[in-house]
Parts: sequence; C-alpha cells; structure tokens
Amino acid sequence: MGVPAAGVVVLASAALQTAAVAAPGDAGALLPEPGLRLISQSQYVNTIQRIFGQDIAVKIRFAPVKREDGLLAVGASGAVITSGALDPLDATARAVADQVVDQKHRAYLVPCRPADPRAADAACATAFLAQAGRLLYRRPLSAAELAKVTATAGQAAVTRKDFYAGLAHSLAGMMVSPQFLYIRETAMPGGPGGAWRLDPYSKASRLSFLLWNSAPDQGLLDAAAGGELDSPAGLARQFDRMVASPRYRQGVREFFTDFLALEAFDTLAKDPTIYPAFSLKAVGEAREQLLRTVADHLVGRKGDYRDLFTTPQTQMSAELAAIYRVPVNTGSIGWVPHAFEKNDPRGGLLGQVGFLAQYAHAGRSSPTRRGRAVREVLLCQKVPDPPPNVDFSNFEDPKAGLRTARERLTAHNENPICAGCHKVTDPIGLTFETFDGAGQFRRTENAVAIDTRGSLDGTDFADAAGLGRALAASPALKSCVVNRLYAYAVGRQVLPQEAARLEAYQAMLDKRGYRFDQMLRLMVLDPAFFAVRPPVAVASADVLKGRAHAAQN
Amino acid sequence: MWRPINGIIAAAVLFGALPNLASAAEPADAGAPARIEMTDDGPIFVTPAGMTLYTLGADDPTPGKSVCLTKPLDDFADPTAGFGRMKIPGYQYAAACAAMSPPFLASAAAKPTGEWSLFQRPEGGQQWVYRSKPLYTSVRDRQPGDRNGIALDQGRRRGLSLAAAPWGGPAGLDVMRRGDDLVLATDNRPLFTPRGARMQKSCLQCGDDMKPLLAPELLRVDRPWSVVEGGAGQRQFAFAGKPLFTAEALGEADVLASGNWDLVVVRKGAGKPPAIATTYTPTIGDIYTTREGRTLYIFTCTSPNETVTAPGCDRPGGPAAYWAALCGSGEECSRRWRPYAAATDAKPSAEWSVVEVSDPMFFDPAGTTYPAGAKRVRAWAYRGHPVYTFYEDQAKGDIWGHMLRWFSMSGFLALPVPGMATTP
Repeated sequence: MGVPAAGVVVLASAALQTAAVAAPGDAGALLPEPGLRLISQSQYVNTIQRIFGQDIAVKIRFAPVKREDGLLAVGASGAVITSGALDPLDATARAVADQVVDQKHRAYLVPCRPADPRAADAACATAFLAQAGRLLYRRPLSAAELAKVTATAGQAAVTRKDFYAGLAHSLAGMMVSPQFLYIRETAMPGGPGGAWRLDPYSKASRLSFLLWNSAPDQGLLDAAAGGELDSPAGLARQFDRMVASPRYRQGVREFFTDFLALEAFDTLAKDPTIYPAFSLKAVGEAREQLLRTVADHLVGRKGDYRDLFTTPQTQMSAELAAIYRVPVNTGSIGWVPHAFEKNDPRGGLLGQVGFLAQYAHAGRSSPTRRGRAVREVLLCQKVPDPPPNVDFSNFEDPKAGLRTARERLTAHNENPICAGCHKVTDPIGLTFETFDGAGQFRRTENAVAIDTRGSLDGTDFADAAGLGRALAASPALKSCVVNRLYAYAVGRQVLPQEAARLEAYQAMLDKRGYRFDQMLRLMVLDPAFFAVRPPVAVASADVLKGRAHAAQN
Repeated sequence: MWRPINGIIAAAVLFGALPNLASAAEPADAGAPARIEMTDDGPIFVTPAGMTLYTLGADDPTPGKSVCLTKPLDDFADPTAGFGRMKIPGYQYAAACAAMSPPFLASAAAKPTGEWSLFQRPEGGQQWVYRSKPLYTSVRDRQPGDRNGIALDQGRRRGLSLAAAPWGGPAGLDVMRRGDDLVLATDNRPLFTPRGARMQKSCLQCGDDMKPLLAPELLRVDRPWSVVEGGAGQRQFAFAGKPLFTAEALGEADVLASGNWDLVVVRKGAGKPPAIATTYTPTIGDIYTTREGRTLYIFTCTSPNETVTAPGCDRPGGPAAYWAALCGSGEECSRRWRPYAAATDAKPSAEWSVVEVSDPMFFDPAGTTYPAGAKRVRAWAYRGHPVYTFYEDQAKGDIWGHMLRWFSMSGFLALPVPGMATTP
C-alpha cells in the first residue's frame, strides 16, 4: 500500500465518534447522537467538481455500502474505509490535485501567483488552502490545521522545486483526510427543550448533502458562519435558495437512486438471445428514464409524489423507444418528453422498463420479484426470504403443462410454506405479466392470454395502470416515503421515538399534498430535525463548549 | 440537428473581448518553439514566422512519432484486402508526405520543454512534438494566415488538422466555429445567453430546457469573464457580463428559433466574399453556394488509407488519372464541372481566395493536371482548393454532384459551412 498523500491517516468511523454517552434516565437519551457517515461516491464526485470545476476528471469507485433499512445512506453510517480502499482514494486525490494546479487550471483556481514558481510561498499557499480547505472540510480550517497543510505544501515545494507540486501534495492530503471523507456532525447547546443541536456547519452539511447531494457552497457556509442557519427565517431562506437551485434536481435524483435501489442497474443484464433490444445502453437509459420521470414530475412539475404511479408523462430515448415500441424522434438531444396514451396499460413509474426489467430474471419475467419490490421498496413492508429448500419441481416441469406465470405460481403455492409469502407478492406482481423480463408489452404467454387481474390490500384492479391507482391511494405508500426520506436526511435509522413526529408530518402532508419540496421543508424547518443528544460524558472540554469542529484533525 | 434561422446565426456579438483572454492564463511554456495565434478557426500554433502548424491524423496511433515520410509511396494496401497491395493511381506524380506537409523542425540544439518534445526523424533532424503530436506545415499555405492544409475530405481523419493551442479561457470552456464566427462552447456544445435585458433578468432560472453554466466555487476570473449570482444564489459563469447557459433538453436550432437566446460570439469572422452564399440542405446541413445558390464543390483525391501520400490532384502537376476516372476526357470534365469564376475585382476574404485554374484540367489522362497550353481561368478557391459547380444541379440546394467518386480515391464534395454541418 502506498503512503497516503501528505501522510494523513484515515480512521475508521468508530474512532471518530464523539465520546458522548447519555446517562440512564437522562431525558436527552431519547434523542439521537450527532451523525457520522462516509461520504458517498456521488457526493465525492459532485463535491470535487463543484469546487474545482466540472471538467476535473474524478475516477473513483467506492466499495459497496451495505443497504440498511432500505437505504444505502443509512448503511453509510456504519461504513469504514479500510486500508485497502485507501490506495485508490489516495490515487484519485493525487490525480484531482494535479489537475487543479495544472497549467490549464491554476490561473483560474489558485487565487495568487507565487513569487517564485520553483519555491515555496507560504502566503500564496495559505490563501489557496484556506479557501479549498473550507470547502472540502465544510467548515473553516483551524489555525493549526491551516498551518499544518501550508507547511506540508511548503516542504513538498522545496523537495520538488515546484510551488504547484507542493500545493497539489497538500491538497491531495486534504482529500484523503477523514475531515473530507466522513460527514461528521458536531453538537452544541441550544436545541429545543434542553437538547443540544447541530452546530451551524453540521447543519449546513446535512442540508447540502440532502438537497444537493454535495457539500455546502460558499453561500451556505457563509450563512453558517453568520448564524443564519440558527434562525428559523434564515434557515427557511437558505432552504428556499437551495431548492430553487438546479442542484436540487441532483439531490432529488440521488434520493430516488437510493430509495429505488437503482444501484442494481450496475449489474443488470438480460439474455441477448431472448431480449435483443435490451442492450447495455438500454440498461443505462432505463435507469435514467426512471430518474428523469421522477425529477421531471417532482421538481419540474412540482407534482405530488403519489401521482408518480399514475402519470403518463415520461421521457424517451431512441434505445428505449425500440423496447416500448413507440415512434420517437429524439434528434441530437437523446431524450424527448413522451406521454403514454390515455389507455396505455403501463400506467406510471412502475410500468416503465426500468422497474419491470430490474425486478425480473435475465430471461423471463418475475411476478414474485416485482410484487416483492412493491412491498419492500415502495411500501416499506418486509417480505420474508424464501426458505433454502424450496421445491420448484412442479413449477419448472415442462410436462406439467403450465403455460403462464399465474398457472405456475398457482401450482407452486399448493405448498403452504410458499403460499404464505406469495399471497402478499403475487397479486401485485402478476398484474405486470403483460410485460416480459425486459419490460416489453405482450398479450399472451405461450399462446395463452395473460390475466392481469390483481389486488393490493383489499383493492382489486384489472391491470398495471389499476395497480398504480391503488398504490397512489395506499396509506403505506405515504408513510413509507416519509419514513425513508427522513432516514435519508439524517443518515441513520428512524428511532422509535421519532415515529410520532413522522406521523405528524404525514397528517400535514395529507392536507397539503405530497409535494417533494413540501415534504423536505416540513422536516428541515422542524427544530427537532437538528436536535441531538447532549453529551453527558465527553472526551474533551472542547466538545462541551461546542467547539469540537475546531479541534479536529 | 443544427438548423440556422434564415441562414443567419442569431448571436450576441461580443468580439474584441477574446484577445484579452490569453492574458488570464500563465504562459504555457516560456521556451515554446511556436506561438499561439487566435484565428477564425480558434487558437492555433504558428511558427515563429507565422506559418500555420498542423497535426497529422495518421500519426495518432504512434504518439510522439511521425509516420510522414520523405519517400513517396507507390502502392497501398487494398482496404478490402481482396487485392493485396495496389499501385496508387498516378503514383509517378505523387508527392511524398513530408514534401506536402514539411515537418516543423527544431534546431540541433533544441531541448524538450514543458509539453513540447522532440522526434528524431529517420532522415535526420528533429521535429517538434506538442502533447505527443508531431507538428507540420503545409505546402498549400503560401503566407502567414493561410490555413489551407486542412484535410477537407473523407481522409481528414488521417490528414492534417490545425494544431489547436490552449486558448486561455477558463478550463472546461472552449470555442467552436459557427459559420464565420467563433462562439463559446463547453463539452463540444455551444453556450447561450438570454437575448435582451428583460430575458436576462427573468431567465436566470429557465426551467429544464436551459441550465446555467455553474462556475466552480474556487473560480477567480478577470474580465471579460465574471461570476454572477444566479436566481438561486448559484455561481454562474458570465462572459462580458452576460450569463451563460447550456441547452439541456433542446437542440441548438430549437433554442435559437425561440428568439430568446443568442450564441455567444467571441470572435467575429472576416466573413465570406459577396460572391459566396450559403444554403441549407437536409443531408449535409449548411453548404456554400454561388451567389445564385448553386452548390459549390471541391475535388479531392485522397482516401482514408492514402492520405499521407496524397498527390494533391487539384494542384498543378498532380496526376490526371483521378479526374479521368470520373469524367473520361478533360473536355468532358470541364463540361460537367465548371470552376466558379471570380470577377476581376474579386477580393479574397477569410478562407476564400482567388486562384488560376486550368480549364480543362488535363489533356492526357495518363499525364498531369494543369498541362501547358490549357486555358487558365480566375476562380474562387476555398482553403486553397478551387471550387466548382456541377452541370446537373439546377435548383438551390441541389447536391447531385456530392460524393460523385471513383471508388474512395477521388471525387467531388459539397462544402459544408464550418460548424453548421449535420454531421461533423
């Protein structure tokens, strides 16, 4: 393993946890601790490119994070960077830093020019590193931190006889620092009801990663520094600014990437002999279509979340048009708005190729996977895993004369052990059977007309469009998205004691409608959103004084 | 697909600002052997004497090394592999690559510097190489400012291209040609700015179709660049005070057709002579025509395989075989393809010049072009290539002569307007 840039050692998350332990019986014990989670791959890339420019190439692949409570964002709170993962992070950091100071970029990104480009220049290095560090660490660098990174840059400049090489060395070091790679929240007194609250910079990070999937910008950091985030009006002002930004769409897309488990598309493949139209390009575009539909509906049209499951509006690419068998002329743009016909059997989001292909086998459809996905992903209901010794013999026996999935599943469910779970998935999944494993429409299977009737928790429907309407009316759909969004926002599991608050949000949204920005606004402007447990036993006096952020590194 | 509005590019004319841009960047290499010149084709390297420098596509597979030889080749590998190696038609008149495209040579004492390195040529001497691409001049260029060496035909991937130089603008931004002008671009797509003050004020958030070009947080720029606060407090690039946008969900033509947006012209081109016009064709995009609207063609005789040995068959002394293969006799060629005559008071402009053309082009099909005794006519030339009309073209936009070829070896091509072609 190579030595990390600038000798910075990356620590596992546990080592960074504030040593805050509430005493038994303490009222604050019901509150969550300040969060600590690993920055995600997309957050890493977005942050780097926002600070240094979209043209900076960031080649990085993070190790997969375990999905917990339906979200990778929750799993990220338990993620650590192993020593093996540090090498590629270090290499990426060096590559990025080299680009930032190269001939092409330095004139526009470094705010000064060194007196001698072949020697150290502490003043110029300090000017750059203070600015870059504030954006990377999402807070101002302490005097000690700044002195350290400036000295590192100076030493490397002397060794390499190149001021910019020194700058790059120090910058790379900051990019493998835990201060950058971990989103660490720190607390200070002054929360509601005697609780503590996140300090302004932690608030800024929570807001920014939630709404933009990126680190705070200068404006948000300035607002944090000026105390604006501690006042309801100031917080609302910043929230409105962020939601009005084009980056908000990026944030919404990222939530739904996590919520809908779209990382599955990274490994999704179909049998090309069965589904020749479902190319590798189609895989990526099917995923993109889901996200475009979501972002267009929730951000562009400010639509109600529930209507996502009935909306005929989407966007279409030429590659997908072949699968949908619709004529489109995408021209040079690649994507064009498309509305399905009024009586189209697809209905909303779940009738899209992305969902249908994601939850299917490589060579055939899967009512069970599709039904389970609706239950688990959209309704937050747990469907037990199948037992390891399932007997599929009657299901797969070609001599059995079972021609449709409905017939096969009916035969399979003669086994009462299987029937228990299948009765909660199959009435949903079978309604998608007019769509094959690649999401292509079909009327028959093995020359038998497909029966698409189904039901959802007592509501019967005739086809996928009917399921969409039933889903839109389902109470579980609303509670699920509120629950997941809150967990995503705070980066941890929802605590049992927070359930009442989420129900209150839901009651308000039932009246106002489930507009996505309204959902976020309710959560973010609630003082409880930033409330954390007061530290009872702490590791240092600095934490007690709420100045933990200045004592890191 | 690009489609101009009434043949005119809607544009915010901001020319005059561009020369200041280079000063924002630090000098690329103090000891660089070439200097940077801003042209209608963008920033390019030129020799100290001002002659245009080129890179050769045929060199791409061998970074840092030149495949351009001093000895003319007389045969080539048949691209279909059906005939093995074949004699190049008129090979006895073919010029060597290095004769057509003289390498940009360094002195014996020259040393690599920055992104400049040296290639030891097999015949002796060392050639300058910039970012792994050997550099050349072109015999088609007669004076500083000429940029006639560019391969215009299907062999362009292996032929000469202008040696693009850093342009001094913020990283991530670039310039691209649109008709006569240079416009701002990013990621090979043009940038737009709202037309008129009212539009600028109301359209800092323009929905999904137009996205503000966000500036990096650390960006520091000097005029004519600036960073403006967009509608949501976002940092947005601006040029000459005008905020910049990219078209996300609309084609360039649709954006301009709305009447609310302009391209951002950073350098106004010299413009074509009055005798030259343009028209739109669905197949090619915008093409050059005569004043009356007849399509203009150039004659080419290169192929993807043989660009480096291109004999230059529309120049004096080239092999007539390429012409004869298409039209038979010189007289028949002359009947079908007429040089576009230039008036006596015709004035060159931009890429357009006036040259003397042989009419007919040849007498002996096995001989050379521009034979002694053939009449000479004054005709328009595009980047040094004489331009022709085709006898079957009757209506504006007819391109019956386009790609009339003898296999891939020679033929006529209609001339696309730079940056306005359907396919680049």
